[in-house]
Amino acid sequence: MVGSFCNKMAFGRGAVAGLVLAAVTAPASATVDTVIRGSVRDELLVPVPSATVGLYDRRGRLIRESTTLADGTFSFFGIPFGEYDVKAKAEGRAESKQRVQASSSASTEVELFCVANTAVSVIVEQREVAQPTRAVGSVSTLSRESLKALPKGEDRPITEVVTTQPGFVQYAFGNVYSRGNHSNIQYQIDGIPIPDSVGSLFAQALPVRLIDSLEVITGGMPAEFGNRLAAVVNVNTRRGTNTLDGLVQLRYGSFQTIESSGYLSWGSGPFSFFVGGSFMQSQRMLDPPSITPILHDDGHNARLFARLDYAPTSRDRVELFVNYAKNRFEIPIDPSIVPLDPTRPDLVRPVDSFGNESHSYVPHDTDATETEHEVFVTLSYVHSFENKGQLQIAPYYKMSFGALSADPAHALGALADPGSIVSDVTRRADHGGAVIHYSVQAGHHLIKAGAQLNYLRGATDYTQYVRDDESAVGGVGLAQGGTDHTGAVLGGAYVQDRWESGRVGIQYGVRFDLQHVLLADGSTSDQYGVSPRLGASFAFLKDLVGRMFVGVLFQPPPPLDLGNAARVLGVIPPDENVPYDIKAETALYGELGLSARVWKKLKLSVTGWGKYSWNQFDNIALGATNLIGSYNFEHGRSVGVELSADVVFRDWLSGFANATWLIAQGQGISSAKFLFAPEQLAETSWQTLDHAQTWTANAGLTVQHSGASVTAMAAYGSGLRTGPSNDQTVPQHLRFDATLQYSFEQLPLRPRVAIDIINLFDSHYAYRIGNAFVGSSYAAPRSVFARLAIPLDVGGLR
Amino acid sequence: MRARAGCRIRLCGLCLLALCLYGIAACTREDGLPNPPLRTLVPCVPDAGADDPLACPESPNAGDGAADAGTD
Repeated sequence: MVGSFCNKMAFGRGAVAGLVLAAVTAPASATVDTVIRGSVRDELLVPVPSATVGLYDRRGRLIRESTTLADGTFSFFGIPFGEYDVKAKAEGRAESKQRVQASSSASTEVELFCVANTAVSVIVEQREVAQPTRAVGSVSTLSRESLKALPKGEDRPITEVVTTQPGFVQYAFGNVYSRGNHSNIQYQIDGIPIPDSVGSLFAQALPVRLIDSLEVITGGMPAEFGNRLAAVVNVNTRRGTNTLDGLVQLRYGSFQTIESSGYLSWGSGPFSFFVGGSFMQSQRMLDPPSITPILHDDGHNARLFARLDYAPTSRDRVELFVNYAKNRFEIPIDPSIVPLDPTRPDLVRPVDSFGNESHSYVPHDTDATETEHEVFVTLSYVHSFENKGQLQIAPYYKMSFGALSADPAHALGALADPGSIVSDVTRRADHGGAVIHYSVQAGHHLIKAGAQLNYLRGATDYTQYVRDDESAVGGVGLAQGGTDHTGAVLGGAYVQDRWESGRVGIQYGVRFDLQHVLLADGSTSDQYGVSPRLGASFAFLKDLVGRMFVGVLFQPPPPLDLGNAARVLGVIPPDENVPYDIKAETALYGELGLSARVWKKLKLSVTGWGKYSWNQFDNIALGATNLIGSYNFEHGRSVGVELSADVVFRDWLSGFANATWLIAQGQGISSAKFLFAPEQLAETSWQTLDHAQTWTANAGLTVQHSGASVTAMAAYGSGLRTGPSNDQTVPQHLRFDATLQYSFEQLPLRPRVAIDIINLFDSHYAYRIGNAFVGSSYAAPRSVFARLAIPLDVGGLR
Repeated sequence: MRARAGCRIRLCGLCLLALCLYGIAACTREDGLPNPPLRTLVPCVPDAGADDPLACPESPNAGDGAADAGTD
């Protein structure tokens, strides 16, 4: 993401403090539409034909309407995943309603019973946990309501939202790891995959307040997903309706954090819009190398987004989506490091308790900064072929820009270590592309096919400054730099089918991916792969579903990471091209799962998964930043088990808990060897990856009543790897967060207030404790934030 | 008209609140001893290998420094 780096260049000994994360990759491709089908029967279980069935969103707005067939069945096709109410009405019969949570990975079954008005019946509506999904992979769906109930509410970064799900590990700078993978998480909005960004910007740039529903897929991805397969975060954005809706909010709290935000949506006739944004500034923007004091960590960010919809007919819809994000960070300085004493050359910095070498000293007047901009624009056209098929065509453009300013005049000053080096790096990546999806429902089949094309043009300007050790006051002795250009074309196509009949669901498909990289010396690199996938689910009972998945996961490499890391480290002279030898990863992946609703209010799930990879990707983090350099292990292997539970009790209590155990290892570094020391290259035994945390657990509980809600969450991690040989772990941690929210509906303006307490018991822990090459990053101590929000709805502005 | 007036009142209230909060934000920063603790310098180890972080730096005075370190 950010930073500057100083000192010795030798890998493993050199001290690095920052740069620009380069992770330009191909987008995945997938739709967000799904199917809700079901039947309407009477009190004697006889099908009810010609009943009117309505599909409503959570605010009670009618989305679709249908009529049951002679056998009492109905279906809604081509609707976005999310939470809905399905209501059935028939003449002379009582209305029946059921709430469902629809996933894009499986159709959702609904059973409704419309009893005769003459029959004696008592309808008791009680909140229940959703039935086990029939999806063949690991899918969890989060509704807007559950996102709002989390600590920090809609200000919570999406990366922190997904880490509440099994299989994820939270890391510094908002990074998350999924199932032993270092990055490679695909985000997609309304069916359109987002190309990777400078750093992990887009993940954090995606405001939670624009999300209507969120789907997290950590394994068993259907063939429609490709290229980035550590996990898929599938976002269904909010859209305007005929009711004016809006909110303005202020948030203030620890580290002088202040954030203003808001959104507004409305619709009229065929047009609707949803716009919003936020601006935040804080004295703790990045996870610094010390808990306290925090030196040089100020910054701000801004987010703007807009969605405009035009639906000229009931079958056609055009969506324009625009998202802009800006970040500006100061690069934090480690206050625990002291300068060397030129009069005592026999004194050196000690190693820490893990044996990690110390970073270099960064003069405290160094003003290294990182500025990032990101723009994503897409125009999506969706056409429905009655209730049977749907076509989506979506061209897009994305610009990602990151500029690191290392402030060499101060960073290489009198107190800086002899031999220090810092770099300015400006990186820009432009993506242009398009996706096309077609899905059709035919009998028991839901067939999807699609293709994607993405062109990337990337450029990195770099200037490296070496300290003038001959001068008593230091300063810049030598500066040299250059520009690297990279172009890449990425393409993919898939076809898949999901067949469901009774208790059985089978999903099978295949995709083809191709990457064509244009290198600076005029040569090219072509890599392609075929990924067949097969999954099945079986409902032993309505509330007991088993599933399995096997498949090939082909992931083309990120084309730009390699060059940036080499330039920053200075391991390749400016007048030489950086060798491009990184290979695509191909993995055999399998998982088994069982999910049971053991009680209407309690659902339990267990999943076991395993992966064996050829040319497994891994990344090196540089310094106290998340700048990464990509490389391959010759082989990789990982295995994990995940347990989860969901509970609801009446309307006022809901909760979740999950636990993950995993092992992830790599063997034999096989590419980008210029980044490594000879002893590292000579190591051919299996080694545990530094982003693998053996035990991770999360739990949350929400109690709500009459406009008030309290949510408490706990997160446990057994610690990521550290030590010179990466064979130790940082201390385990247990963190509690809590939030209290209340809506004053009776007061003027109907204010909503909230208090968020992060790290309630002030646990001091590190995401990572690095050596001189990989920096340390500590989690925030106890932090308190207050939110005040004013709704702007029909009773307000209109 | 009423709706517009209500909108203005809200806007003014929010602006005032924003100003108050911004004023509060101009507080002092935390200070104190570093956590994790200060990494004060230690004598180098003359016999350490070249890739050992505690190895003595190569300089004309390195030998003297190492000797001093040994007797500290």
